[in-house]
Amino acid sequence: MKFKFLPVLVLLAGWVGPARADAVIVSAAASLKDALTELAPLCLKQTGVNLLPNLAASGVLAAQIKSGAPVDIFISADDETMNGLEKSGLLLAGSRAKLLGNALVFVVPVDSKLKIAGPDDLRQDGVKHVGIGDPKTVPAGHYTSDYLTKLKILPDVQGKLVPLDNVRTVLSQVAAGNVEVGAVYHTDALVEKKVREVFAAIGPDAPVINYPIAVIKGTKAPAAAAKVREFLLSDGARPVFARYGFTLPDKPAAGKPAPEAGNATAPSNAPAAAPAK
Amino acid sequence: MSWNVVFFTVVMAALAVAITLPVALYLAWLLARKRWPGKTLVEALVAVPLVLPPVATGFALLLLFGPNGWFGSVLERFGIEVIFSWKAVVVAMAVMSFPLMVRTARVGFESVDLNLEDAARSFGAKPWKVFWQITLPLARRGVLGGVILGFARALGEFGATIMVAGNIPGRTTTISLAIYSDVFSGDNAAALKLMAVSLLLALGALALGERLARPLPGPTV
Repeated sequence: MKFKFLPVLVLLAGWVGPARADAVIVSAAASLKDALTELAPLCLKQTGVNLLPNLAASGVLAAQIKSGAPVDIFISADDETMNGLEKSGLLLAGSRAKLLGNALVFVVPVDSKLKIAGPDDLRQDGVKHVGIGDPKTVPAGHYTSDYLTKLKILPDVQGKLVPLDNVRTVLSQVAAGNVEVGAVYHTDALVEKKVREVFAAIGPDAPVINYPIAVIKGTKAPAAAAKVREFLLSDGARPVFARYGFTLPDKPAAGKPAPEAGNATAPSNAPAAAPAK
Repeated sequence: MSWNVVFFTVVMAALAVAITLPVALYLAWLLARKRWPGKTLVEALVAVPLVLPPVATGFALLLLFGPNGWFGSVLERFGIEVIFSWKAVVVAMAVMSFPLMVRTARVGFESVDLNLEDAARSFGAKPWKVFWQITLPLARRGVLGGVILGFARALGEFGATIMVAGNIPGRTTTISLAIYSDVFSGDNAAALKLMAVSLLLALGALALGERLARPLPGPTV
């Protein structure tokens, strides 16, 4: 109720003209909502630039950027989507950097009696269903089936896999007890109180889950966008991301643009500690 | 929960319906009363947003209103940027509710006894007066039904809106988009509250529509 007349002001601002120069639109994966909402006022204070998050699925965000929507910064939930934009020449050269990492974790209902400590335990008879994102459309599901394939566990558990339409659905199904185990991101597992993590995908076969950031070439406010990018990569923003369960790339790319090369270098993508709930 | 988003959504939906209503009524009347070449084609085109997935409609709007699109490039010359603004919210809502308004209003016009219109004309009423005093009042159930249906559809619009207006809190986020964000960030309580509010809004609109569409008192026609 605080800004009762904000919509009216927004309307008026819309009539007067396009976005003010000191606002930067950051298109980001929907899972970043809480972190960005918390960071926006901090960003305004430190850089004088208004960070406006635009939250949707990475594919939708990429389509908007391709059609010339006025996006200044893009944070993708995977490297593939960002690679696509890079190939189309839509990113500002040298602005791409590793912002965040996430980890693939396996969760069970909070009151589960099953003893699961590692991927091998998925073979036991007590595990009848393993909820995963549909590997064809959901990156998390793709990562899961990839991981199980590399561990040579997939053939044994193939019949148990239940592909679902997105990671949130997997989480809800585990919370409801409809599947005994589910594979989701660490950040998702943190927000659902009715599930607990039993193990994270770690080791050489574990997927590398990157959230790259880049400035969009067509930005009308390159200076402001650069400031916001720098802020998001800075030590001021990192603790906030960490609090929401994201992992941080080893080398802080403070200030200097550090162009990354796809999946060449693996960040430590295991959660700092298995959260006890 | 922020009431801003509720207020914003209601204003946008009302605006979308208000802007398209005259066009929708005219088209509905043309479809109900006249024969003209290309009628079937226009009918089919109007129905397109009903049959396409909303995301596809949104994608089409994104291409049309983007800086390189047909409309977008023209509007840009006048300094009007639609994408990612409240204007895009109105456009998405309007396009999605337009077919519902046209189709429902058309049924309303078709239900009007033509003899009554002829009678009015034979007493010398001009076409405008016939429409305003005979056709529209008699077709009001259909017209109001279309308005309410269109308004409810606009309130719940999601797929096209997120494509063309983005999901920018405080600028383009509507109730539906806020629910989406809340669910994805695990804030189920906030999502449920907004769902309850949108349910009440829709029911309120429908109840109001029912009330307004009651038969007029007096002798039946």
